[in-house]
Amino acid sequence: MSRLFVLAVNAWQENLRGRFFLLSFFFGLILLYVSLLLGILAADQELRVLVDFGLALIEIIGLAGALFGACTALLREIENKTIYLVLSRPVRRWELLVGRFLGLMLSAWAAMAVMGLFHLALLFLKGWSWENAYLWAWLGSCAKVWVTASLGLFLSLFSSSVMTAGAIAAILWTLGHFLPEMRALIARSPDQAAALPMQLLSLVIPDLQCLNLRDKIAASSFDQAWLGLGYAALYSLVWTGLSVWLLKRKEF
Amino acid sequence: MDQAIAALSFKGVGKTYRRSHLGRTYLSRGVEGLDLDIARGEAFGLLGLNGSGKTTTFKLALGLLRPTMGEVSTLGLPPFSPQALSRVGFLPELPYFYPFLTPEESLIFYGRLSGLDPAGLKRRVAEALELVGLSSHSRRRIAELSKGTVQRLGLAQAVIHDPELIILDEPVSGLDPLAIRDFRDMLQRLSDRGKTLVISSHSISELEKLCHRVGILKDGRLARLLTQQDWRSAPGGLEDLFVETVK
Amino acid sequence: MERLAILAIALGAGLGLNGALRRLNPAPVDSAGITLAHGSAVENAALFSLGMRRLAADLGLIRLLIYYGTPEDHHGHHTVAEHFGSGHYPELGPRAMRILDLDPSFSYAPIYSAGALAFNLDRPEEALAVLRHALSRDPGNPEYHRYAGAIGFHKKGDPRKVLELLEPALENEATPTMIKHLAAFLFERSGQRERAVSIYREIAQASRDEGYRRMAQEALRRLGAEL
Repeated sequence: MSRLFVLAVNAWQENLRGRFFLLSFFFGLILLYVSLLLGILAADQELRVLVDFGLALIEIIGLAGALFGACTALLREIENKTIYLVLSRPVRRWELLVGRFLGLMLSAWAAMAVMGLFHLALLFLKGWSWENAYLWAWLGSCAKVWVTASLGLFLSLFSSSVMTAGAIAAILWTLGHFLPEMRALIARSPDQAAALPMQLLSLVIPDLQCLNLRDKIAASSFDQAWLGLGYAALYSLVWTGLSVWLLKRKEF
Repeated sequence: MDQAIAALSFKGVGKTYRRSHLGRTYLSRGVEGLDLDIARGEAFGLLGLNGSGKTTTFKLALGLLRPTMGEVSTLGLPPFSPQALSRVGFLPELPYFYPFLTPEESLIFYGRLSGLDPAGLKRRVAEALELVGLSSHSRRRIAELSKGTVQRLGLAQAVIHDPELIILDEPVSGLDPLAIRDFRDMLQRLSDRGKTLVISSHSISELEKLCHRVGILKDGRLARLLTQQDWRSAPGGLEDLFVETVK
Repeated sequence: MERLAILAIALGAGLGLNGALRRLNPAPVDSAGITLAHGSAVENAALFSLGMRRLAADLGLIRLLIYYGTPEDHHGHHTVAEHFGSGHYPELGPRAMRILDLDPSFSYAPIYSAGALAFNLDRPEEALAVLRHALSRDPGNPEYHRYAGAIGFHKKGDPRKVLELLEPALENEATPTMIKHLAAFLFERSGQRERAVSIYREIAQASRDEGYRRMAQEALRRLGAEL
């Protein structure tokens, strides 16, 4: 376990000393400026727009960093050959993968937390009152980033291409939000045979809309949220486990 | 030689690389029919032209590659086993480090991965830096270091955990003559302390000075195995014997 | 082959997890959102795919407010003219209904639109159509019933009953400033000066709508009251 921790800390340090956190602060400035403008335009609904826009940006920035990191983490180690100095030590391949992925996710979530704090400071200044729904929305975003990053990690090892992995993961991200619409279209399609490919796709792509707690921020209860978060955890663990399997098969 | 006491043992080892492209599979030979035992405490050199299988041999010894046939054992254990790897140090050709770390941080990182206790780690890091002459550079970022300095750091990470077996792939590649001499002295000190060294190099004179035996690889096969007596008694030394073997 | 086997396992795992999720959480399919209006279809589709339905609704509201806040000329074109907010605004109702399709919980949009149609533009039938659409999305929402009732009494020319229905809504922070301003105006017309002043004062001090803050300040001056 300690090796896993060492590798996670190393990945965390890499992100901390990289552009990750600078991006977070830069985002904070953009958020302050753009959302103020949008909020003014929304008049009575200024706070709602500030909440929605901020949470959306936090998710997108978190996703961009995590997905980029996941797609490049191991491929870059292989390309740069830094992997030799790690795997020539008593480090199991699953420790390397899980450790680096853990460090990456902790960095991404920490960045999202920093951005969240900036966002909350702005909201409180504007007279907003705390709602638990905000925390649920933030957790849902963290879960979505986790699922998509684990997909990106798997795809990077499967395809050995950062671009392919990133592109496919991004497509799955968008399709995952479109699932309710896909199911509606399938149900309404006059030609079920023609809808079959879409139906098959809808069965396997990750259901990110169930994690989109941001869209349910007006809901009175978040009982089902635990189900979604559990789904996200299981989904990510399965794909991470399969990534370990791929890494074990690789030769360097 | 009894496999139980061999530092490295290759028994009928072959490695074929498979590459698939547009439905066709291309095969290329890494090594073939390799039978070799390297004793503990021995300094063994591996010579060969580019592409002769030196790096493949090392990667097989470290579990980075799996043999297509035959058996490899490292310190009597499977090469990919943590028990074996905890007692092996490796300096790859042109070692790459994480640029965002300093030499000290890098050695702490690799030391922890090798299972060193955090309590004694700082002392070990200081000793390793002292051994390779990098004490004054310990806090600079690796991205700022010269090639020779990075190579020294490479040796430091290979020995930080006091391994029994040290594998070095082209350790003096790209170094100036003074740096090469320093390197040779460091490796000699390690050999004198009873470490097993396995070194590949294009610098024949360095291997002549350091090694007890030298193996010459040609097209993935161990073409010749020479002792110190062999090259000392040859008129042209190891160089002539090498040229004669690979031509 | 082994890699394909791993991929097959991965897809199977996805299938299993999705199936389990749907069994445990059979979310009803809400397809109204995919009825995308021309003019914002691409933007809405893009926002949907990024999981930003609420934001799509927010942008829809901003557009609606800009639309309603921009005067129209006689030909229905939007121009900068003397009288801010003057015009016919045929899209006011449909836009609010589309916002509701994007986010069924966004009651502000249909209430605002219905209020503007009924009380500002004197088109109560269109206002009621908006509220009927809102009620079809959320039948139990008491606010929609309240405003439908108020509009009904407005049609009959009974401002006292309108006020009676609107007054409880004044305590609700989510009530559009426009409705509060209307209530203040009705209080003023019915001779309840103090009540009108307190509402105008609240709007002038706390409303986020700059236009209505200005109007409230003018009203306070007219009534000889301090800010």
